[in-house]
Amino acid sequence: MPVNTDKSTISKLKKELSIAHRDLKKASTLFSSIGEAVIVTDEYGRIERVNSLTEKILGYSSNEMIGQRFFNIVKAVNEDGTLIPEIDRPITKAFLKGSAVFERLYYLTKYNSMVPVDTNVSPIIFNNKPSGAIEVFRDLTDEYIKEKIQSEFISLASHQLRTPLSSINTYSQMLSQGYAGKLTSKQLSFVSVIEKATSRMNDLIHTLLNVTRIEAGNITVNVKSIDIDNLCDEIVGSLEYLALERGISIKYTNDSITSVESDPVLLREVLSNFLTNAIKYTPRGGRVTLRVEANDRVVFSVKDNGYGIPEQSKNYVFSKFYRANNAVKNDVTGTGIGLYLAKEIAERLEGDIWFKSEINKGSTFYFSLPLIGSAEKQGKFTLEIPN
Amino acid sequence: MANILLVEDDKDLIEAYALVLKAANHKIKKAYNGNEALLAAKEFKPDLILLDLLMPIKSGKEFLKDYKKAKNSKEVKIIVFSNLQDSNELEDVYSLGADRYIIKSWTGPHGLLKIVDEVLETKDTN
Amino acid sequence: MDSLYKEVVDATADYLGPSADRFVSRQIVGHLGKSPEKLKNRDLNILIKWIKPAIALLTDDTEAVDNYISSLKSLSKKKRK
Repeated sequence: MPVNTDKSTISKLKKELSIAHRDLKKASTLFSSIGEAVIVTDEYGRIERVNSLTEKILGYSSNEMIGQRFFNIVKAVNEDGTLIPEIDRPITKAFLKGSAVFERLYYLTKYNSMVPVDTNVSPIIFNNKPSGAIEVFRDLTDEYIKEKIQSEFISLASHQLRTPLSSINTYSQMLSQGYAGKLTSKQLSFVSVIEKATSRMNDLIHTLLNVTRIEAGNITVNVKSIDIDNLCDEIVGSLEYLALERGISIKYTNDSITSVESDPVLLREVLSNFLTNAIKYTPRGGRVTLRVEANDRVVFSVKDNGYGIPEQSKNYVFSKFYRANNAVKNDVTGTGIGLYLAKEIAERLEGDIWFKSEINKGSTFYFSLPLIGSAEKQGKFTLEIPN
Repeated sequence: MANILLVEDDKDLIEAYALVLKAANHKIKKAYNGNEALLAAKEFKPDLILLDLLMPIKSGKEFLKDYKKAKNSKEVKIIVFSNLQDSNELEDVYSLGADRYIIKSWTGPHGLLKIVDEVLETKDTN
Repeated sequence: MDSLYKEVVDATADYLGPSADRFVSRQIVGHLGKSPEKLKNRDLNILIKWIKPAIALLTDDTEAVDNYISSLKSLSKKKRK
């Protein structure tokens, strides 16, 4: 077949070739500019292309990797070092799914050390056929170190803070109970001040610890079948003394639902928090009602006829350490952490949290859960259960 | 009324617990770390051990592991003290043979006596 | 008469041994959205398209992969009721 070789055709071809070269170079540059490690495999599961970050993380040079079977180079293990079978690897799952798979696991480097990675791998569809895969992954070592430091700090802080507190607590109680001789009534009253302050400090440390645990994002949710009446009666009972002291009456109503599947410790923390706030921020003679209702969700609400929340504070109510002006005026001792903790717990339990309030009329705080309850979650910590 | 072995490295606390328990007519022996505790347990033959977890030389958990190998250790009650409450640690400690777990900074003398009495009264369920 | 599904599993067993059944049924359910026994000749193209990279990942031998894919393709040529 004669080929058209006139000048204009040749010139046109040269131009197109030059554009193609430029595009190729551009694509190549784009590939090497990607800020994560990339591996491309061909339709036979062999490594076709890698970038420098892949070389850096896995320890192999690109020459050592290209042309090799993917699984021969990229070996993956669980946290305990056991090999992950090929059939369970994300790339295998990606071909089964037909789309991207995201996972966190550990890769073994050339030198057999474990690297935690966050990876996503996707089949490459070319001409309507899967013709390989592209994997992008990231070294999580720094992130994991930060988490480890954080959890070690939590352990250290709790022990360090509580050691001197144990002595203060024990010795002041021994004083008031007469172990060092009978005290005068004035001495007793002084010791009583120490005991109250120690008790507040214990509560503060307990709350702080729970906040740091929940912020680490890793709280276990232990799902149990909760008898709602039992739980609420218990919480109301535990706050009876506080309510009596402040001249507040508490009422509990529930004629909708007997049980819910969730974590009782976490749920108790939210409801106790709502109730404590309602009691503290309502003047003498006031009323607080804990109500449980269920329609398309299980809704817990705590209503008071107290001071209410000022308009300008409403956006900050769930923020850490925030206390509205009228709250500080009425109770100097609050920490501003309780509602923040309640919100974090609500998220972990997959519930919703919100409120309604009118200044000098009162507030109602709501916490709702889906009817099917919360999902079980395995985490590094649990919240502390108060005495 | 009972022989109680106190294992705690904090000298102020161990003196306080000894004072309180002696005033309630218990017989007390003190040990400041896990090694001393093993020796003391052999000679003193306690009915109950109050065991701190974080101690130098030999920790409370390490003591429990060694102690529970002894023949006559099965009847001895163990109350573990700590300042860190985490359900993972709770599980660990119970599986090592502890009968109770209490948080030091929350438990005053009154609370301690109450728990000691409760634990001493429980019969072993076989 | 062997079902098409069983023939595919038999052809795959040469390469995957006893896990062939699970492998093939997962591919059929995943990519065709039907139960394995309902596999028809006209489904084979799509199935082969996805089985190829999946099995290529699991074996070392590219020639074997090609042979396997050819054997699957020939199954589609058989007449069935």
